[in-house]
Amino acid sequence: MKFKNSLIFNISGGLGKNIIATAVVKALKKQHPSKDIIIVSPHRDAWLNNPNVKEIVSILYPKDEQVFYAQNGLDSDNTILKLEPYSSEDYFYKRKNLAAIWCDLYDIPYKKEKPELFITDEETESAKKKINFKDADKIFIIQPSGGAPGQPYPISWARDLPLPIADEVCEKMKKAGYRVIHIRRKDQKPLKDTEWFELTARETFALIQLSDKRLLIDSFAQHAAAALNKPSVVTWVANSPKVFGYDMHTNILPEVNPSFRHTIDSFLEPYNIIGALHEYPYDTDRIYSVKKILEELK
Amino acid sequence: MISCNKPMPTKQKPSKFIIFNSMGAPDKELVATAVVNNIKRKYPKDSIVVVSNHPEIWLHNPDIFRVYKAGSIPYFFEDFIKGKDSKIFWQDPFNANDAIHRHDSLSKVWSDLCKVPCKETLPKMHFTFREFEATERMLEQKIPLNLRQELCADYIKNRK
Repeated sequence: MKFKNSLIFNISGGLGKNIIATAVVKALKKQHPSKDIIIVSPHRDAWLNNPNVKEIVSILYPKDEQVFYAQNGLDSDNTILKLEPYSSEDYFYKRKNLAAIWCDLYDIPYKKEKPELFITDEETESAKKKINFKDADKIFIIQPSGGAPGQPYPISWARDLPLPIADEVCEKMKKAGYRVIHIRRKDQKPLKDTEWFELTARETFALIQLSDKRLLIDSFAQHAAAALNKPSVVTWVANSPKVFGYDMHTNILPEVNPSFRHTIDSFLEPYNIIGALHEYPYDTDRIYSVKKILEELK
Repeated sequence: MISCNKPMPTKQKPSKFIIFNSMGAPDKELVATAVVNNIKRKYPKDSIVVVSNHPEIWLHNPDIFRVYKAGSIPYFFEDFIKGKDSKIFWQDPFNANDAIHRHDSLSKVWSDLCKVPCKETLPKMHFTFREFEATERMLEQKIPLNLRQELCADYIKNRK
């Protein structure tokens, strides 16, 4: 299919970045209400039923992207928005929220648009069925680990919640009468005594919508919670809530001071988000107070 | 190509750094030398640090303070980013709408991305006297040369 006079918005990266991009596209649509917006992304789950978007082009591999542009985007008056917000000076210096940085790349007025997700009742019903949801259920969701499959370290200290802390919080929430559901991929280590369900991304969004309390990290679930207007507790390590976080969430930073480290591999940012072991800046994994997390979850 | 006729700024005291991502194939990096010249025209007092896949293209370039080979640059963050308020030009120009549509030359698109006027579009390389001399010695026949490049670098590399 050939697109005409459209805005082709290209997102590379993960599901969380795509959810952030829904805020950028909302601002873009306000700027150009009469133009069609086409999304090119590997994560259509973030875009389904979004009324700002005319079409979604699901592209999983870069070579397919080249074919797409050759066949659909080049010989018309389409505008291709493919610049990378992670390559911006404001991103490296953590000056602004990523959606604002992204808007700046194209001179889109940014008025604190929030991300948005559009979940159907059928998707919610499907999630309820899979988790055997009962009206009386009080659901606590925890996502202690993120990242893509096949990452060099199964746990990234730079982003993840230390598992001993996660286990302790889950135990306390269970005692407080919550069903504790662990959001994770099948290949990620289960937390003690938690429930896990094999859900699609969109069913996971629906589960977030159904949940009562959430303890999340800087991964897709905290962006989804913001998009669904579900204030959550979010723990941070290397990334900045100023760039990736939301005011509606309670953002918790490490309580301990970093120790001396050689920053030999620090390139454009102080730490590699994969969580290289020699960069770990603390002398303990008790970097948050469980008591404080539990207080914020009340 | 022009010869190196200016001394290297070896004793230059850095004021403010400009970090420039030149990483790409040799042809892209040659275009980058024109872009960096445009940046230098706008920010003559700043010290440009280039991160490159092909540092040999940048040797002796008087527009830049340093060139580093991408991949392993110890303490780069501490030396050039942390607390330095550096300008960082890191976007890949091939992602720009005007480059994808081929509306303009790459040097113009790239300069626009860096928000500097595109006054220079020709690449610049700088050689030492000895490099010229050695090349001349290798080409002892004093007849006109016909230089041909039939295959791109990637093809030659992948053919092995």
